[in-house]
Amino acid sequence: MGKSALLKIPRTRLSYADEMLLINGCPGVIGLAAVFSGERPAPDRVRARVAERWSGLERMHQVLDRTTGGARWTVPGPFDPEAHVAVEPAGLDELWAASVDRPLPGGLPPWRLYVVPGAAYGGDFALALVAQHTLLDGRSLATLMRTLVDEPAAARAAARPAPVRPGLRAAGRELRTMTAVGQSVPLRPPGEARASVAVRELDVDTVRSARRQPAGGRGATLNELLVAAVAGALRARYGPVRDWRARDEPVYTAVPCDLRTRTNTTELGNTVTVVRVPLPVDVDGPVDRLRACQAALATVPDRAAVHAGVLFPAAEAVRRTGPWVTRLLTGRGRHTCFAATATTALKWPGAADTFDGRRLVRTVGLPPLQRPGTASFALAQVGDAFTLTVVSHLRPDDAGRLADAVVTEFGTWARTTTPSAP
Amino acid sequence: MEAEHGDVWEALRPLCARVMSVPAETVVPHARLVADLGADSLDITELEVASEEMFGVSLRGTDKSGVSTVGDVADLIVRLRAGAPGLHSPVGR
Repeated sequence: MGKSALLKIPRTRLSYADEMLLINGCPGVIGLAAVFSGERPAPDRVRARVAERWSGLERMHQVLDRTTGGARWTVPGPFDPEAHVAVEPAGLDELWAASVDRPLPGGLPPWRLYVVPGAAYGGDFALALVAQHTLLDGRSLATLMRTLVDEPAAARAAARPAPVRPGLRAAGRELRTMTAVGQSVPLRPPGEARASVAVRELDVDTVRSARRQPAGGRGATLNELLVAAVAGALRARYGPVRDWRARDEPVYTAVPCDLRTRTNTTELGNTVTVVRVPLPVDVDGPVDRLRACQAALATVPDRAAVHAGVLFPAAEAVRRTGPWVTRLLTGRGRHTCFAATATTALKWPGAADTFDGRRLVRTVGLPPLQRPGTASFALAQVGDAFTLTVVSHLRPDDAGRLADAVVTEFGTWARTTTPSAP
Repeated sequence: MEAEHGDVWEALRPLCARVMSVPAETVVPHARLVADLGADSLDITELEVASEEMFGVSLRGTDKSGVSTVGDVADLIVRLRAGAPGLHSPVGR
């Protein structure tokens, strides 16, 4: 496409969240696979469904234009299902491993849908959506995949009500919390950090038993269990924090929070913020770690409201001063606002969805690869199928070791019949 | 009151099953929303919104303690419909 043609195409400014994800120095590739049982559909059948369900979604046609200084979204034309839907014969594990550290090429809208043949994780084939995080957040991936099934359910009424605008005191408190120094996961043995991906299935009875912890309480949500299990996994793998590189710096996990409200439940893009939560790596005992995580996560909705109501609007206003502001904030974030891990729990509403009559049996996430010294965890649920994906930027194969350690934490909760008293 | 409780329960049971993506037979009065039915924060919010539309009462508020089972939610809805003052959101996040 020539420059003269480009000049006629409307160019849309990236949102603050889009831009932070674009320039944070990470590959920024995320994914969500839906695993089905039954005969694999012909690729053209999938392309037809994609064209039918996604052609009307402007975000899916957007291309990142960086030709004229600064980045803008443009829509040079409709996406081409032939180019965007492909067969990946190697398998889902191989697709995730090949995608996680390789940004999608420019020139086309930065997403691809792969038809993945071969039995994996209890199914016979998978439809795997891979995208640049700059274009779509995790909730967007779930929304898109749900529109591909035979009878898409109406959007959930679950979106949070519009948040009440928080006060400046709360904003100041959150700003201090966000900018507190955190440390990375140690590289042991020392060496160059490498990307690795691991997927593990969690036993349903184990998860059911685990979520009844702590005994006598309301139970634990999947998100609470995941964060606490990650804290336990880090302790099991690297020991107490006092033995880490920076013994006095806390270890944080980044918890993505969807900011959609009832008025934009199915909006595509990056309508999300990230709240840093301290990981109780030094708390003894898995049940006490779970309690600590529940207490920390209870503050997240109000903190996310501060992001949406005060900090994001302020950042947008400051950003208009010049693009250097975003780079400055992002650079500062790299050094001080470090989150050693990122943790996301994804629940697929309903359990009886099908694609061309093939039953959905599982979803498998691909969280983004972050900076060296980090690991990202995604725990996906469809009905009774729970699947953990770990993406690490640590020593080779650390993703597998951390995934196994998380599974062990769930097993420990499941076997715990007399947890310590609160 | 008993008849109203029965009506609320009949409507609440399939609602909980749909929102939490669980079989209806698992939705029993003593089932805990989080521990037994696996509810997450979005499920709880959806349950609150749907309850407002279905029963005409607002479950949202500030008190997040005291209610943890489906039966507790049914009791709360009945009390709210009867006009009991000072009742707020029932479930923890």
